[in-house]
Amino acid sequence: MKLGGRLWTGGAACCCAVLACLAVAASGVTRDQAAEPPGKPMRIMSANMCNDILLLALVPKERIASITYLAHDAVEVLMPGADRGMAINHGLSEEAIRDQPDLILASPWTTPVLRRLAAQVGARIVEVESANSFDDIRRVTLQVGDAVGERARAEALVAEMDRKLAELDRTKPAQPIEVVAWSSGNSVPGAGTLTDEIIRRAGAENLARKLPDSRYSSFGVEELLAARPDAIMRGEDRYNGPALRDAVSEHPVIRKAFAGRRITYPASFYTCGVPQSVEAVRELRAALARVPKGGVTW
Amino acid sequence: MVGRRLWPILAAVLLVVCVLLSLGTGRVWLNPAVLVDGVFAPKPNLAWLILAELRVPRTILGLMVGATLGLSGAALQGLLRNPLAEPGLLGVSPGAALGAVIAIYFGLSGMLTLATPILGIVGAMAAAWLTLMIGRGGTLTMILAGSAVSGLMLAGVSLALNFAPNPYAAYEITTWLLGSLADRDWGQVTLAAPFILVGWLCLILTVRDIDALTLGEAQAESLGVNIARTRFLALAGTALSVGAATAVTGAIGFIGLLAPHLVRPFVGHQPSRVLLPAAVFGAILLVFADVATRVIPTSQEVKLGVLTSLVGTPFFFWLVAKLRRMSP
Amino acid sequence: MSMMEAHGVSVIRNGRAIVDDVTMTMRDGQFVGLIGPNGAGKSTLMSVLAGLLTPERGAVMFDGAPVTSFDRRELARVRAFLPQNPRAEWPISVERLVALGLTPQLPAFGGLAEEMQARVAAAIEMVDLSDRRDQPATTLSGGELARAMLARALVGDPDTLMADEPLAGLDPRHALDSVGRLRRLADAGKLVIASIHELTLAARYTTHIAVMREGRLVAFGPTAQTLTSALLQDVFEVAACVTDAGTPLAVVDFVPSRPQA
Repeated sequence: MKLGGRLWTGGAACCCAVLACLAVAASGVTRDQAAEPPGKPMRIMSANMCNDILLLALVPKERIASITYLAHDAVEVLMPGADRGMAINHGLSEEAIRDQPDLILASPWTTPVLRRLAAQVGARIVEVESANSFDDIRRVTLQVGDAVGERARAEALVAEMDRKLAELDRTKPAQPIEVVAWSSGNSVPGAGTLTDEIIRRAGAENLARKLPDSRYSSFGVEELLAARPDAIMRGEDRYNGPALRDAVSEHPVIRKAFAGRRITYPASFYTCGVPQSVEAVRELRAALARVPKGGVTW
Repeated sequence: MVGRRLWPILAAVLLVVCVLLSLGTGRVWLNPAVLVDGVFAPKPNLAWLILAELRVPRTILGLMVGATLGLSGAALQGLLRNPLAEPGLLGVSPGAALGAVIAIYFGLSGMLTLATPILGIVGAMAAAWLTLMIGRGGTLTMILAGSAVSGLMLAGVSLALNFAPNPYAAYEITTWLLGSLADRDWGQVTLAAPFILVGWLCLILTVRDIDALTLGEAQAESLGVNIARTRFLALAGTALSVGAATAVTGAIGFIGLLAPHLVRPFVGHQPSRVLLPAAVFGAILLVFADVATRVIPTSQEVKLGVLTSLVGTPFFFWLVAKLRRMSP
Repeated sequence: MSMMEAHGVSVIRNGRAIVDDVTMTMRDGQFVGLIGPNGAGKSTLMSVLAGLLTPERGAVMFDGAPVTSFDRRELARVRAFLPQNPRAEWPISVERLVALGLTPQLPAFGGLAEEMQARVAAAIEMVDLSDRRDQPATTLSGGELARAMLARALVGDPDTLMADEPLAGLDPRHALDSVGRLRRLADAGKLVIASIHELTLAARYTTHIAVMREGRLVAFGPTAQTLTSALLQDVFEVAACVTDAGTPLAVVDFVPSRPQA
């Protein structure tokens, strides 16, 4: 073999050896972890925004390894400052290795890579489904409570939620008004969504239930005008409290027709089912009471 | 040619039909009797509101945007002597898209309805200016510069999508890019109209020049054509009109390419004869496509840009095949 | 216009003189054949004479007025220019093609006036293409297209016609036909300037010859006196034999310098 050929072969062999060593070392790191005995999880990583909120409500800060970057806005509304100084993750595998969690709270949309990695890092992975009703919220809260070893707290939160729900049910207004959660026609939450249940429990009728289609369907200005709800609701990510605010970016007809009949709501608590969502029902009821009587006139 | 005499009648009929269909169609079915009643009954009533505030501005916008795309396509095909030229070639449409995306990304669209169209027009102008500056010195250079500017604008759009602050913004950007005339109002008509009309004027002023360009640039120049001025007028006209149009509707493709080709069998190949018929036909095509998006029974609205792409692409293939057959 | 002058015209690109200090005076009634080897600068000179290219030095004058002082459309009315291998980019009819020659006279919008349509018809008639007036120009043969382009150039009735290699690619019959037309135009009082490679035809039909080599004008004068074997040998670096230059029987022969072994 010529000298050049020998150099190439030698170089390739060295590279392989180095990689092999690294692989052994890496697996050595993870294998050690797996040897720890299971107990209350002390380093919990949440890879889903809704789980973040539940987690913050159930365990003290020291036991949380990281929460997602999307959680901040929701946390600012609900428990300002609760996430100060907390590590952020984007649901990436490298972060899982960095955080060395012993429990990962995931959702049905978590990537398969993270799941495989969870096993290698020695973390238990708990898949939490999204909550589309208060029943679901009950189930999910207890599930997460079990997973983090705080069943008692979870039960307390659920009991509190149930108490408030019962109270709200007792004081339901007699005349339900029609509303629809509408945001420039992109999608409208119909039956089977948490938004729908919140609306019902607040004492209103969700116009979107009458639509024949799936849970989310498109709904343009024409349909809105023809349906003529008493008020329209709009979810905001940065929510500063309930208000009957005018959104400037609506069609002028809508702006005029529904002036003073627009209710904003915190989008996070309608898409994420958490026990605190019961507060959303209370706030919605208060906002509904302020909607002018009588239907929309032109 | 029989087609030449037939054309104005055909165009007029199609125009009337598409306008009536557009006024009469929507997600809310109102039969014609109700609509007519609504016009004469005391206002405001539902039929009148839907007609005057939703369907009429939508129809007018559809006609203006369609005519713009057709006119610009015909003018550019005449200028570049290439049957595959279309408004998107010079970077103007992607520039408008980038402007609009910036408005959405920074939340400006939530603060002011007209923020998106205004920034779209600014983006179109910037892209056109860039193409003109870089592409000075010949037709081929201008086409290549347009290609480069398109790439730059699209890279900007991808960047915005990549760093979108939250999934909703990304969704809003993506949906806007698909192109739509849904729920447009008079504000957008009055915003876009001046730019579109001035753009049309610029494009129509090139009519003699692009005829002379049939003989090639050397002969056209010898006939007194100022080719640099023609290129500028065509580009400025495209930037103004197509920029404003894209800014209010999003990216709608293929109309600018199709319309001139569909009218050539009727009016011949002379560029000056193709300009206005292409504008009319572009308007008709777009309004029909828009009616189709309202009629197709899907739970999610079929976006206008998606529909024109689906219908336009097979035609594009056919066009390429035809050109291959004709070439030596 | 009755006189065209070039004074010290030079075109310089990348430091090299493509056209080097050319001075010549041409008058109506002349058919000037511009000859020279490939790369001699003939096309560039023609572009300068047509006013389409501005020389780095020198000027072109039409009747004493610099060509740069003419408005584009005025210039277009006064002189017509045919580049090498003219082609039609769209399949428009011959009639419309010829009508494009009237562009300088047309208003910004509107169709052709009656009187102009008559001129178009006359031009088509003059080049014997009346039976092809509605045929798409892209389907014409080489000779027919050359005639159509000539009609396009002449329909505006310019004083001067400049053609760059008008005989390129034409078969003998059509070449004879075209060069004969050009001579007849000159005889009728126009100034015709054409660059020609077919030296025998140049010797027979042109009234004057302008010879270029490496950008310089090495000779300019009446054909009979200027087109000599010595000149051709010098310029083309091939042994040439010219007989009866300037007459309808002229012949230009090239022979190899050395007999092949």
